[in-house]
Amino acid sequence: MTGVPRSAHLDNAAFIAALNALAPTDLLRLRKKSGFRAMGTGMEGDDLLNEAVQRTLEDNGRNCPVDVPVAVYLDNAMRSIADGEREKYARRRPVGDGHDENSPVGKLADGNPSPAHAALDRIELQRVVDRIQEIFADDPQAQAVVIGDMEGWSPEEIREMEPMDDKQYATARKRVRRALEREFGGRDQT
Amino acid sequence: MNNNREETRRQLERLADTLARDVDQLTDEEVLQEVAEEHGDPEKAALATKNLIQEAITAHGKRRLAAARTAYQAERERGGSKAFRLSAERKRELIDRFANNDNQLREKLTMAARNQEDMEADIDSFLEDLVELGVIDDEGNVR
Repeated sequence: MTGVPRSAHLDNAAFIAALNALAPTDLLRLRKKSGFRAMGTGMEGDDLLNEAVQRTLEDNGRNCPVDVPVAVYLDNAMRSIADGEREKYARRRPVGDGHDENSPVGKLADGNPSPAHAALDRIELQRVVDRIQEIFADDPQAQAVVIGDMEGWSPEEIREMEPMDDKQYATARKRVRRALEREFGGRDQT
Repeated sequence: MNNNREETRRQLERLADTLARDVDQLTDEEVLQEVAEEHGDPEKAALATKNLIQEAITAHGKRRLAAARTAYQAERERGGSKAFRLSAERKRELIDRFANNDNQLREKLTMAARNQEDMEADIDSFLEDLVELGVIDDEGNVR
């Protein structure tokens, strides 16, 4: 059986051609997702998308496998970059010990962040979560969806917490998504 | 809700995953409709995203060009390959060694000597070729 080798990836010219071939709806989906992926990273969604493209073009950067659609690849790249950015922050400012370098947690923390990451110090992950919950303070159904999503609950578990029929659940999910897109989405899109 | 930052990081990741999955489940028509409601013309919004991606491609190209310029400048300041920093006498020895097996080169050198021409640029060019071909190493040693 012939197939694509696992290591096969697009070179820069092929990657750029694939980017140029993205359909308008693919582009719009990516833009929506970039805002969600950027939550708690200190970056804007647009910057995260830009970063994902640039890191792929770097000589020793990320690689887009030939058998993965470029839109899927870019979402995965944004997810990975965002997670790395959040992790840096979480490690730099460990909880509960006031960054005591002698504590077990403090030893893992980078007490001397590079200037490039200094801006992240302004970001407080918990404040991002608090802000998300604050947005839905007057909407218990949407709040249940947010908390459930954060905790990895199933739809059934969410609806156990806040009783909703199918339609109510679907519209609550939509309210959450669109409100968070407005809150964390990129710059002007026109 | 757990206050641990590591857990908070995971919560945000899970929320982003779920929202991204929701976006994937939208039909094209729903995407266009939502964008029209939020941002106006979906075509313009798609073009804005395309431009955003183009900016990233351009930025990468500029960075790469700047790096190439820096490397070129550094190479020039360093004087290129170490072979080019050899004494004139050592360079001549190297050239003579290869000229013995190359009639055309030997004749050229003889003519230049006869005409008292400055051959230094030609010699450096020849050494550069030899380094590139792997005949001599960076320090002028025959491989």
